[in-house]
Amino acid sequence: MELKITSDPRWLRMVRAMMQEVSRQAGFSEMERSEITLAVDEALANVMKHAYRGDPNGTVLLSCTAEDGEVEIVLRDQGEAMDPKHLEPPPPDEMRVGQRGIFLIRAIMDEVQFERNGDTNQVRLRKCCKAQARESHG
Amino acid sequence: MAKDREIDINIVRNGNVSVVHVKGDIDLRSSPELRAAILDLYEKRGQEKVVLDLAGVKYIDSSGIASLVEGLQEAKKRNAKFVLCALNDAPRHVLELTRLTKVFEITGTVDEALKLG
Repeated sequence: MELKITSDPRWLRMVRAMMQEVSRQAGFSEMERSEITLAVDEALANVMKHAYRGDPNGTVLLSCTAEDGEVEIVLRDQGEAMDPKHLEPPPPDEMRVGQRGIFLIRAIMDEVQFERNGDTNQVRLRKCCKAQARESHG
Repeated sequence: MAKDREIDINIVRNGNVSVVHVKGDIDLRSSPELRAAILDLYEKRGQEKVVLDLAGVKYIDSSGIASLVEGLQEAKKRNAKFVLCALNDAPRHVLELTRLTKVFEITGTVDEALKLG
């Protein structure tokens, strides 16, 4: 599944609804669906806020592969290169205002990759269903 | 709620206490509105207690969490109170993931929040 949207935050709600349905189809629990939705929303918001610095006219490509018990999401944009400082945030300090988005993404997803290829930022997120992981391991 | 808005914010003021009823998703698009509403109650209205009723909120992201933290910071600065109440499962889980459940005062209902000293 592929989606091409602008970096306008009004798209976030639609992407959340899509991720809820995709992760439901892939067999994730209600809690896991909420978490995957949050992680993708945070990654997309990060592109809007940092890569495009709030400009709503940038282009974001979102591709999503869902199989039984597994989902992979790739976000691509042509915004500014990601600041490495933002990609490895410290654990959330109680009273710090920001920098919780990447922490949440890393806490939720099994695999998180940030890459810069030429003029393109790419974020790849992958998560396996816990119930299926339990079955395959024992 | 207007069709294209993410949240509705309804504020009920009673003396120095305000209850902020929020309905909708708190995300990158809507969190600035919530942040401004909360800070306004402390900075311009001099409120001593702000109760944030989140019964109508099914989703909150890190920008929404940041707005809540700012509200709490402002309250502490003024020796005022900031209470969250009626959290749904998903917002509560985000607070758990960000290790903030013990930082905020959280009650089950608005009435419980109003009774807090």
